[in-house]
Amino acid sequence: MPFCERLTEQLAIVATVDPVNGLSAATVSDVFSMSLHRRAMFILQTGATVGTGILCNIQENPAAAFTAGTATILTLAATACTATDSQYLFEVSGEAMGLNMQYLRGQFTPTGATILSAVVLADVERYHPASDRDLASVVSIQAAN
Amino acid sequence: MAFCERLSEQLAVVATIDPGDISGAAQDSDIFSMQLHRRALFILSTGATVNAPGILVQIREGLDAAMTATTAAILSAAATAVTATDSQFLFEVSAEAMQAGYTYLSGRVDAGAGATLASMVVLADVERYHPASDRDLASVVSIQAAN
Repeated sequence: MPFCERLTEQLAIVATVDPVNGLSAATVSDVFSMSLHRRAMFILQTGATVGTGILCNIQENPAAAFTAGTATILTLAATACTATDSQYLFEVSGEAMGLNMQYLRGQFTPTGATILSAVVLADVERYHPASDRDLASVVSIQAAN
Repeated sequence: MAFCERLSEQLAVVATIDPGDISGAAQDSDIFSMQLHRRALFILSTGATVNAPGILVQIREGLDAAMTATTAAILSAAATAVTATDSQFLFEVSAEAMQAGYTYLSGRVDAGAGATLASMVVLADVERYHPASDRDLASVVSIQAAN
């Protein structure tokens, strides 16, 4: 049988929006660099309450501080993100990013009180295990085999 | 350049616990079959509030899709080990590690009576039938991809 890495060894948890109840203003995920990743997948989860929708922007920037030159690489209108207890996926390839753009983050702007969370997973091209690139907020990894 | 599948084509969103206050009775994720998957990764995220003494987490395996007959905990974390706010706890199960006859998996979280913000998403790879997104939950509304 061929060697099969664990998913936690293939994919790093590189950013999150921690679960929040009653959010009514824009929030952003952690910022991460795509320098060591081919692909990143943003998973937005909605809870039982979604005001009148969530404007979703996946943004790229040349600098980790996101101070200037921010561009939106993917967007979903608030009117298209209204379902409760649902998931919305956004995926970015490093190749699709603008010239010199290296950093990514998700920006989520709800209209009205909203329950949401997000987690962002990224693969690794060269340096394994991916868990070496996990956020410091990953407290534990348990595995059965 | 070699062909590279999207992550959303490699991994299916097979179960969730939607974000919110999970206080009160224990909450279970969707139940899913491991028949078409080699590995499943449960990602538990906590928010700004976690009731003391923490969240008891069990990854349960069962013989049937209703999880009504015999179930067993294949992984578990004591409540006292899941106390951190704004954090993530990962649990991964290989199909090979499941007991004979056990096909189904589900995650269970029990935070007790106090307010606790949490969510869970479960991703599973696919061994044979791609894209994995064909196995996504019906609650996956949209998938957007830049390349």
